[in-house]
Amino acid sequence: MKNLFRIIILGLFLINTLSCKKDSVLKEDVVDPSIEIPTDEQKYGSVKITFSNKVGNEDLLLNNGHYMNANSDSFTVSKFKYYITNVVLKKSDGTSYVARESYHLIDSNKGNKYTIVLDSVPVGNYNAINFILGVDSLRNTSGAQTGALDPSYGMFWSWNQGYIFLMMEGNSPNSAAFNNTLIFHLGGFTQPYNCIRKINPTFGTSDLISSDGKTSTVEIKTDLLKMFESPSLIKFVQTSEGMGGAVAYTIANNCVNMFSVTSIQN
Amino acid sequence: MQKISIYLFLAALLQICACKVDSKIEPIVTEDDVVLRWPDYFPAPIYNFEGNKRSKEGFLLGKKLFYDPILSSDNTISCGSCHQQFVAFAHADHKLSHGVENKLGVRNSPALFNLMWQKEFFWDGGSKHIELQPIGPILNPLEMNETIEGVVNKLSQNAAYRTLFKAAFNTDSITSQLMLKAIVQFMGSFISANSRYDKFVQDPARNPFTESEKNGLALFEQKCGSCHVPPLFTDNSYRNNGLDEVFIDSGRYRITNINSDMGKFKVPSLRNVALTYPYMHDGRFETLDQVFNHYGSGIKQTGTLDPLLSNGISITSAEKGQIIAFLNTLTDLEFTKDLRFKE
Repeated sequence: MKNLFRIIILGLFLINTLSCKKDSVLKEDVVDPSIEIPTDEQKYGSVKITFSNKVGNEDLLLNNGHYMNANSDSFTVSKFKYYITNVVLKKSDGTSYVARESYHLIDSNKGNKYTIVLDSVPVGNYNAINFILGVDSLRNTSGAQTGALDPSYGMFWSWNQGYIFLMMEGNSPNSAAFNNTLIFHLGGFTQPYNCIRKINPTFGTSDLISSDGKTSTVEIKTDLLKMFESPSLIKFVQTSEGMGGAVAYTIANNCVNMFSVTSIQN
Repeated sequence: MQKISIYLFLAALLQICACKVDSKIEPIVTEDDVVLRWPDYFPAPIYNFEGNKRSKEGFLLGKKLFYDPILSSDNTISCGSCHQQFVAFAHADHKLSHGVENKLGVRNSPALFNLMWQKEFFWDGGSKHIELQPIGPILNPLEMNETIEGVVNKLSQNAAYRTLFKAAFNTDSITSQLMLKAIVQFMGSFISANSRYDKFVQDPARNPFTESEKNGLALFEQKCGSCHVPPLFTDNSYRNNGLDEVFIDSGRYRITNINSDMGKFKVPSLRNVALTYPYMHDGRFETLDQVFNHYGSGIKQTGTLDPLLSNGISITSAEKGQIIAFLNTLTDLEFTKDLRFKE
């Protein structure tokens, strides 16, 4: 009986330690001390940022969804993956919360929704968010990376090395390429075709409020159609492929308009 | 009787095991062997193994990976297939790299040494970091034709590698990051700085040059040294050295998309140059003599031709002999025979 009791205690202890470990791994986002020095009284809330992959107002459906771009070219999508990195929340007083080790690969093949959890955001009202579509040049040149930046995810160019920031592949009858394919790999972090884009989707009138021990949510829509819309209208008959270079640069400029905040729940 | 046969069986088994272990024994590498040393006239290295702490175990793991065809899709090609130690880790007598299924690559396998002092890799500088460089040949369909995911899966299923990764990085999970860092712990250790030239620089009284080598050095400095800058014998720049009128291989342009980079390739180090034939990015020249003829009278005029070469380089045949005598002093047999790097 005594032994059984001991085993149960040991078991509980083990479960406890294991789950603790998991927690600490997930807790990747902390306040950058250079921005704001947390005090003992500092209180934190959680912020969830959810990205939803859409085509116009529809959920993206890989392979079987039939869509039309702004030029009225019909197309399907077989791959849609992109890096969201360096997430920053801003307060109206000019201070910022900078998420640390903030690298996320959103892959529609793994689901159309992706949630970034920031679990220690200092309490307060935040009126803006910004992030990078792509991977900052430093991480492109800092040697072998791990986590979301592991090159095994196939988002890394082997011959002109660096990350592919956004990968969209599909088909369109308008494409003149072999098998009517569409292949757009946006990447490159040097001039003249630097494809890193800072994205500042507006919050509108409502603030994101981080409250002690509570969780707030920001919903962001990623509209794939915007890739081909403006300022440069993409016609698949002329442009069906771009791997870095001028085409990728032009589409990256369009991608700045791809993200919009659809709701904030405090 | 039965007992005896069991003993015999066990003895036989032991022997088999022992044999297997024997054949796998690595040459002994001590902690001191992985300490890096270079002469004080070398510049500060670009790569300092920051975030990649060197150890004997990491070095041995990297060495096993370097020589293991497991990195290729059909398990036939290793890094060592195209980078052979006896020719300073170039590919002896091969114009172009050889990949899986006898596929031919498009460029000549470069020699590997003094990589700590290189900012960029490949003939066109397409790799910007030594730890990322191995991804190039692993993924190239004409070279190893693998995926990073595929390599990591194969390594993870291999008990020997699980043990080696555990020893090197104290982890049970094999990642591409650790694999790449381990390869660099090995390949980044290739330092070639023990040639006769180095011994001459360090102590000319005890290690004198012959008259012809001395003249060759002076001529070299005058005619070749502005690009092949001592002590590394490269300035790590990209230049069009007048090989072609029409660029089949656009070279550096492929990376930068800048027109002025058309037909430019990295200036290679001339250390060990006597060993690393054939020459140029496509291995078109078999001999140093052909290289001299090119610079003497073969320069093709194009818009991106390096200004230093617009009139070619005038070298008499007597001078050529002396420069070649000097170039031979750049051969580092201590490096090419270093047992730490031996397959």
